[in-house]
Amino acid sequence: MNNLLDRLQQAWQSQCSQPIDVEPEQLLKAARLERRGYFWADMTVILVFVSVGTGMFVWAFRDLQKQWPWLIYSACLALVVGYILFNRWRRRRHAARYDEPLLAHVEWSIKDIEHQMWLDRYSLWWYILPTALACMIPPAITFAMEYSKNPGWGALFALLFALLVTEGFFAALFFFIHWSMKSLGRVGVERQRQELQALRALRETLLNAEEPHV
Amino acid sequence: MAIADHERQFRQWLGEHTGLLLKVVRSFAEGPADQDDLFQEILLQVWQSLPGFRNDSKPTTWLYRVALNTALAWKRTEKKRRPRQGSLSISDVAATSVASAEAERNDRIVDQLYAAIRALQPAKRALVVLYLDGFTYREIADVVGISESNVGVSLNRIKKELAATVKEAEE
Repeated sequence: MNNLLDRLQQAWQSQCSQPIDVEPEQLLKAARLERRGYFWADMTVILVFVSVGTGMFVWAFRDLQKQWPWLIYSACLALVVGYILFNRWRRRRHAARYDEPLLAHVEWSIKDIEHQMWLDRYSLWWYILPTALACMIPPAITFAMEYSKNPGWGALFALLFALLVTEGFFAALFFFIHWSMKSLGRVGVERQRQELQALRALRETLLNAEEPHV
Repeated sequence: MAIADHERQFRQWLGEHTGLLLKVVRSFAEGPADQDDLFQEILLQVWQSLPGFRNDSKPTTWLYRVALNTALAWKRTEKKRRPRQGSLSISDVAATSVASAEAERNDRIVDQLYAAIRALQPAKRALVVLYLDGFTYREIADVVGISESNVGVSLNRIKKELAATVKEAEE
């Protein structure tokens, strides 16, 4: 076997190639395009939401007594968008370096995918629930305020009916959004799961553990 | 690192170590389209990682880390392929052997070897490429980030696997 391996090693080391003259400018075109894409995606999200948020805020202060729900909407918007941007920033800041040892790079990739999967799994808590609550809290407060102005059984039933219809509509709407996101995300989850499996197998092989069961 | 230094270093290393990058490319990708794509991806990562080079390792060790990390990530994910840049094609830089019986035989062995390497698990390919290039266990451990004894144990198994595959192909 050693003879064969020596022969293979010799053949391997005798490979030659012409030197390459690459124009870094041309090479970087792809990288720049990608980076510009990320930048403008972030900027679009920020600009759209800052404009919408500011609009809501101004609208609320035009007549705070009537338009106060817009304060809740804008706070929810700030929370959700802030969370999305914070995650993007955090991910890029802690991105693995390609000149790290292979094992360290694999470990980082595993952590990164696990974090992404965790975020996707709990999208209900981070994105959908705050938005749903922002939509459902104002009707409840309005109900309480209206009832305190006109107490009585007739008003109570009428307001309760209106409240149930409104809250029911929002509950159904956000349940549908949650369900749609879960269904659409299934393909992505499967891809992430496979990648995670491949990474764990890679780590096990590098660490010379037992053959992984994939 | 100033942009001019960055560019000078990049050009110099490409001139000196293209063979190293091509070996990684051919070990992880099959077919011209995939090989061109991986080659471009590696060059891009080398360019982007170059400012982080601190002279605490040999250029070949550093380049192998970048190339192998990129190849392993490329192999793992079916990312959307970047549009290929005009001048970056493996066929432009591929080996040009002198036409002789000896060279032809060598090319055949190398082709068989690449096929055998591609049949291995990705992590094993990384180890075997470094071994075939004559890296010591210490240097391999440095690139991979595992202990020397681990390298030894793994390589013993991989060498057997590789030899068996090549023998089978020869017969």
